[in-house]
Amino acid sequence: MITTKMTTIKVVARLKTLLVLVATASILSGCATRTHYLTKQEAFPAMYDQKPLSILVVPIVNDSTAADAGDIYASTIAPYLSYGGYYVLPIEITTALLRAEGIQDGHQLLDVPPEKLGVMFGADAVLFVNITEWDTNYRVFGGNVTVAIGFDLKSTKTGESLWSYKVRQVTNTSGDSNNGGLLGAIIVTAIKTATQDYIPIAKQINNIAVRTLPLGSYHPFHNKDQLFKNVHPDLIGAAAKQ
Amino acid sequence: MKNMLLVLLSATLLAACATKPPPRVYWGNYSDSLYELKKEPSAQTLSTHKQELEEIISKSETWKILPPPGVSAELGKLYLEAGDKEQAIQLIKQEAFNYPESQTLVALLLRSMEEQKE
Repeated sequence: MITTKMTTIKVVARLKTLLVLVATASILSGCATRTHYLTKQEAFPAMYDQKPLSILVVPIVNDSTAADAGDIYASTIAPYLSYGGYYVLPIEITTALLRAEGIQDGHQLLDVPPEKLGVMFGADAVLFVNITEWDTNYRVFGGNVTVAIGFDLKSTKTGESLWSYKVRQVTNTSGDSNNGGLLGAIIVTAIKTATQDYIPIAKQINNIAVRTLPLGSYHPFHNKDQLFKNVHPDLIGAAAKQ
Repeated sequence: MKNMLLVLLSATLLAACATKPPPRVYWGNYSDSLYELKKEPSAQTLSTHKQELEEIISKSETWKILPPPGVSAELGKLYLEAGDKEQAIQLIKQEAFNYPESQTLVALLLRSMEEQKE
């Protein structure tokens, strides 16, 4: 009986020491890695003031080295904006209409006032998308695809930026190096990177970016997401125009 | 204990039978078929994308949800390019009916179609 009691006391004492250690460790690690994420309301107050309903996506500004990046990307953005609760004007149609006006490339629109585009298409906001990186790297063991995209949503009423964000993503494309030794690995990597399907990468970036966009009127949480705290402060504003 | 297990098991079975709620908005394979069409415009990629748009609209109707923004109008554009003006106008008007946000654009489209006729 006495021995059991003694053991219990010892165990409690050990536990206490452990607790102190754990507490110290968590306090220390808390100091090391602290990113102060902003709420959507803190980051993008103008979105909640203006509550745009509809978005015009203008031709992509492609500053990357991949010529077809704009086409790939433009095929993927509308679904994500609509999941976010917005009406997106049919991009295939608005792009064709702009082309008829002599606008082939997104660069030509950077100096056009958003107000003017708003009147022409009846949109509340204009989304400028700038692809800054779209690079495929081949390595002996594995390769990767680096994609960086800046987003800038501008009001057609005031011309001001309502939401802006920049996402950079590195996706590994390494093949299975267990098959066929070294030479096999090189060939697998080259093939896999060359035929890499870029659509999933574009979708992933859209998903990351649109999560920080205040939800639009077609979403059940519209005007209820002010306190969502997921906006990385360093990625705001570093957007479309560079 | 045995009873509880039985209850749990039947609950799981019942839950599996219940139908999944419809999505809020359904885009199917829109991005893929559109990109294929842009990359390699041909009769085949065009027909695949057109079928995809038709299916997105019909599935949305089955689920009693709105077709996604822009899809009716985009399908209308494809009908117009194929020479079926009547179907094109109907689909473009459907876009404005479903989404009042598109009214300015739809009016612009219908006007330009009128001008082309003359």
